[in-house]
Amino acid sequence: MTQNDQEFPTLGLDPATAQDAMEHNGADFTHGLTPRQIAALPYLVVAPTMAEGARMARIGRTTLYRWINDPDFRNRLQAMRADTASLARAELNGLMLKGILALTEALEDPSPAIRLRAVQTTLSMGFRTNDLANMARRLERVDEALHLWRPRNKSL
Amino acid sequence: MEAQEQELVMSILRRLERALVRERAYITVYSHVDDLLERWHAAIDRDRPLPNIHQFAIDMTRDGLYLPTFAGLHNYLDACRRDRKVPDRNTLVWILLPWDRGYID
Repeated sequence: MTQNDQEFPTLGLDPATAQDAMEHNGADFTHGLTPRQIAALPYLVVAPTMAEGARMARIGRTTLYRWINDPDFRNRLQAMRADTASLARAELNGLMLKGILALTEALEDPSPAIRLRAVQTTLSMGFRTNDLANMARRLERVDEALHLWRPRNKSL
Repeated sequence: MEAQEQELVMSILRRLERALVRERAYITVYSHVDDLLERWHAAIDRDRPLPNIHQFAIDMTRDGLYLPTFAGLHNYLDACRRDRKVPDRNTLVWILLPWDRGYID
């Protein structure tokens, strides 16, 4: 065990993960952060709660809340969370495609009950998706209209 | 989003749409006018046939704009076509929405 390991027991990351944690979009990810903070970041990103993240990273709550008040640490944490959320969304999109393929197969199933269920699911999801897409389009228009309206109605 | 939440969002959305009718009309008109001008420029640059005037009116109607000013638009665009000149953006918007010039650039 190296001196670093003794000092920071949470640094049990493999070299590649540690490197990933230190690089963010090619930029120097270590700027303004201590090695202990860098090592704790991945745990805090994946943990369902901050308390759980602190437990996994083996840091005290007081330390964690002190770090959260540090703008460098808070910004890195937010950036990593945004990246993770983006990855999760990409993964979910892939799973949705898989789900649609399974639904397509179910539509051809020999069992009428399964076919009926698949038809119900497809129609319900289809209508809902169209409704949401339509709503999103209209919201976008209203948002643009508000941007046009605001500068001319500053006094209101 | 639950059905009840969706209904609530739609109700707020409809109210906002009613309150912002004028702004929405401008945005739609400008987007169609800009698209027409881009195609008009491209047609002149490449010496190709100019955009179809009727199609322009049809596209706006499909987008929810039912304007009683299409006749004036037709006359103006026809004159531009004859003279093979590019229509003026603001003139087009004035012709289409003559009752309100509040949002002309």
